Parts: sequence; structure tokens; C-alpha cells
Amino acid sequence: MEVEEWVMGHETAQNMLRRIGPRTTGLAPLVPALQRIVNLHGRHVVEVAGASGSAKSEFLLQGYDGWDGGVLWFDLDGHFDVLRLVRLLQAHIHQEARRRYEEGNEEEDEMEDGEQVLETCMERFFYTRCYSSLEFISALKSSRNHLLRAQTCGKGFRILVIDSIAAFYWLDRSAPFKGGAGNPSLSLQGAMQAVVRELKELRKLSQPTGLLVMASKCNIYSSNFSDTNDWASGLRKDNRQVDSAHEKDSRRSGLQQREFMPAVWQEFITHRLLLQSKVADGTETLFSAEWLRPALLNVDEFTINDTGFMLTNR
Amino acid sequence: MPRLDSPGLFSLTPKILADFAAEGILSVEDFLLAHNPNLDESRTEARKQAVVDILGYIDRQSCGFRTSARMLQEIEARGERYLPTGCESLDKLLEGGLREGTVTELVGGSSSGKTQVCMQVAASVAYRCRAMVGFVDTCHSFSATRLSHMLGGLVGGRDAVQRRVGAADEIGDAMKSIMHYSIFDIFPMLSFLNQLHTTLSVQVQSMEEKVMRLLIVDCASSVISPILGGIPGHALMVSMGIILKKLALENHLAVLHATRSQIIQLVEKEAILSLLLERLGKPCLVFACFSHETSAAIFVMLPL
Repeated sequence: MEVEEWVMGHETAQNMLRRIGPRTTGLAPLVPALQRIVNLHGRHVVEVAGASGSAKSEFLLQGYDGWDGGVLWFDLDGHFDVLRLVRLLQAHIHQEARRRYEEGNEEEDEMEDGEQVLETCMERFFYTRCYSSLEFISALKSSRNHLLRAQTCGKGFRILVIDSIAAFYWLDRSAPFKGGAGNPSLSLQGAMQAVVRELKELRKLSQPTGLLVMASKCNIYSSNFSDTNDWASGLRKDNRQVDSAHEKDSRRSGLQQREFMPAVWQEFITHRLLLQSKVADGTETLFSAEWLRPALLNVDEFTINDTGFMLTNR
Repeated sequence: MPRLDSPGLFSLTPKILADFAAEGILSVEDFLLAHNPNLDESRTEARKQAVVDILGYIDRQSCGFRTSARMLQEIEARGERYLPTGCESLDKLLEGGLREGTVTELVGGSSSGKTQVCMQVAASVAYRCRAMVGFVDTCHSFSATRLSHMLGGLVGGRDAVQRRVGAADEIGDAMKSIMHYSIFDIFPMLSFLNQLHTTLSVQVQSMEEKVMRLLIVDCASSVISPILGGIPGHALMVSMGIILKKLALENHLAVLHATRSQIIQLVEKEAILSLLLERLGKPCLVFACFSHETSAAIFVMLPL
């Protein structure tokens, strides 16, 4: 059944981006930067890092679009706007409908169909807001039931989005350590460990399609004190053989990223994407995306408008 | 977070509670942090049932998941509105005014007109929307006289009180709906904001006449800058940001907070929309607005 659908190809706007086939086939993403990583599938955890205002939340919003299966959205930052999601979905559906109309596949007007597709997409998008780490962990625990229920209906969840994972970093760091052997305490390490454990559990539950976890994180930049400060740059080079273009640039401009998330989270993620914003000459702001892990040398640049991301180069 | 025995779950017998206590789990919070689902397989049935019951309790306490379809319906039912700022060009910049459910940050150096804008917005919302406005004053710059002049201007001009009969009453009503709070320290500030959140959550249910729609904090950096410089200070700033966002999102307030521009590099961008004020010279103010959505810089000359 699944193979048949795959062979039939794109049928409706809903099927536009997905390729349901054998379990290991990846989800074809819409966002151009994501397309570089072919076969982004359920066992990956993607971290999108960037300074404030570099369109991370937009990016996560773009990632959801015509995926088959539901999306669990954990909003820890309060940056979510339902109306923006609706506009994006409508724009994409119209685009797809127009494209197919031009190709001559369908003759009749797809407006009603578009409405239905929009509704279906919206029904599959589950959203919750959390104001502390404990609320986040309890939301993760209660999402297990949702996951199981959705799987029995046939439509499992494919993506889990966390915006942003570092929202309670400072709160947890300053929480007093309760002490005592074997006593769990709300410290940064403890909270992160619990979060990672729950995410792994959710991923295990959503076999075999897997659950793609996407998280956004605000980067902290610290200034480079001196050029002879070799040990700091040496540490950063450990993970990569190739110096990415970003690193060279950042050393020149005197800013270095500081990795502040605990080790348990850093080991959990498999991919990292860095977003930066550059103010162009005109009124538009350019954003650049660069894969840090795995390190690719290409840097994509794009702008944002009502219909989503527009690639400006390449 | 309560202790495990307080919710009164039947499957949590003393034996099970002792079992949990041996692992260091005494409260629901400990359970959330320490419970490892993988180890559940090897436990007794009673223990598994206890875990299921605790998870059910947690589920009931949390606000749960909503689909985006339902969120859209809620927004359309409530009719989230834009609150007019009292200044046409600013309203045009904000595409309608301050939107309910958002936190807007007003940034500017010293004497760039932040308090004036805050008072103008308060007057406009209190008069035009007939809503309550909360004005948190941290730098003792609020002036009731100036506010009454602004309201006079909105009602119909400086001599409106003489010209029109009901004008004085209208001004009086509007002044009564602006609640002024003097807070000079971070801890009273946090406690006030938390209390406000609780009060407003109850108020909606009792359907009183005038509902608070706008909260102004002028200026937030005065309570934050003395404490910055360490982890606890940063955490307090983040907590304040979180409670402001909670007030905006859960109680559907428009929150406007003013900050000094020197702080801007240190404050994480909690706000969804930032307005930068710069003084060019009397009597004009220049606004450079950059929002996270469009990231465009727009310059507007505002005659005062």
C-alpha cells in the first residue's frame, strides 16, 4: 500500500512534499536549506541556532508544511502566531494548486479542495505552551498519550518542534541545588536529562517512522579576547576537520559562539544549523543559513516574505 | 509541586510511597525529574498502576494540547483587537496599534520621550476602548496632571471641559480606569505581576464590566539594571520576561514596556516587537521601528 502510493506520485497538495515509501525514506523538506541534507528522517535531531531575531521561529514554522502526520509544537518562548501559520499554509496550497493547474493535471477549480487540505493540516498541528522546565517535562509526559492515540488512528506524529530549548536555561542554572545522594533536583543538568529522556522515549514510541525533533536555540556570542588565545579555538576545532566559512568569519569579526547547553543535550542532537541575519543595503534583511553539523561549506541566503523563505543565491 | 501522597490517588499505597521514597522521589516534581520509563518494565503491577495514575494526574494539571484549528477558532471568537496608541503614525507603523497578546518593547535613551508615549497610549486606550489600564511606574515619572491634559486633548481639545457638558465626566472616568502602581524593586515587581496574573484569571470568569487590556511598565530597565551581572540576576530578568509573556498570552493583555537603550545588548529579545525611540530635536520624535517579522527599519516623524 505504501509502495503503491509512492509510485503513484504526487496526487494532491497534501502529498506535495512527502514520499511515503519504505520506512527509511526521508521526508522531503520544503525549506531550501533543509534540502541539502538529503534523507532527513525520523532518527535525526536538528538544532537550529542563531542570535536573536535571526528567524529561527520562522524557520521552524516553515519546516511544517504538507508533512504527512502530525506536528507537536512546544512553545517555550511565546513566539507563535497562528495567523502566520495559516497564511503560510494557504500560500503553499495556492502555489501548489496553481502549479498543478498549469501542468494541466486538474481542470476544475481546487478552491474547495484547498480549504479541506488547509483544515486537515491545521487539525494535525498540536500546540502547547510551557512557562517552566517542569511544565515542559510534564507536557512531554502527557504527549505520550497523544502519540499513542494518534498512532492507533493511523496518523502518527512525524515532527516534534521545540521553540526554544534554551528558554529556561538561566532559570534552571540559578535554581538552588538541593543536594543529597540520589536526590533529583531542578538543576540545569537534571532538567535537561529528564527532557532528553522523555524525547528518547517519545521517539521509541513512534517507531518505525521515527520522530524528527527540531529545536531552536538562541546563541550566545562572546567576544574573542585575543588572537593568541589558542586553546579556545583549539577546543572548537576538535569536532570538525574542516573549518567552516562561518568560523573564519566569526574569528575575523571577533565573535565566537559559546556552547552553553549541557553535554547531555549536545550529544542528543545530530544536526546543527546556524542562522544569521545581516542587514542589507536596502530595507530587507538577509538571513544566512549554514550547516555546522555536518559541516558543509555552502551558505544559503534567503529573505522572508509572506509566502515564506525565498532563496536569494544559488 | 505537591507531595506524592496529597493528590489522594488510590494506587499510591504506603508501600509504593516508601518504594518511591527509597529512590528519592517524594513529590510530583521529583517524579518528573527522576522517573525513568525504561525501568518500569521490571516493576510490579501495583507500581506500574501507580505510575499510570501519577501520569494521569499530571495530564489533568497541565493545560494540554490544542490543535491550531481550535486556536484559530478561539482567536476569531474573541476577536483579538488592536489597541490604538493615540498617535496615527505610530498606529500605522504597528499596522493598527498594540495587539493584544503581544509584548512590545519601547527602547530609547534618556529623555527620548518614552514616558510620554506610555502615558499617551494609556490615555488613548482608557478613553477609546473603555478598558482598564495598568501603569507600573518604576522611575517616578508619571504625572497625573499631564495625563489629564492628554485626555483633555483626546476628548475634544484643551477647552473641551468648558465647551462640552459631559467632557469632565469622561475625563474622570478614563482617569479612574488607569491604575497606577509604584514599584521600585525587582522582587515586589515579580510578586505584583504574579498577583496580577492570578487576579485577572479570576476576573474573566466573573465577567465584570471593565477588563484590563493593557499593561504598561515604565521603565523595566530601572528594576533590572541593578541586579544584572551574575547568574541570579540574569535569571530574575528572564523570570520577569516570562511572567510578562504569560500575562500577555494567557490574560490577553497588550504589554508595553520601556527600556533604556544601554541595556539592549544584555537583555535577551523577549519582546515580539521592538520600537526604538530617538530624539532628534524639539518638538519632533523619530521612530525607527524594527519588528522580528519583517525586520524592516521604518522612520516616521511624529509631531507632538
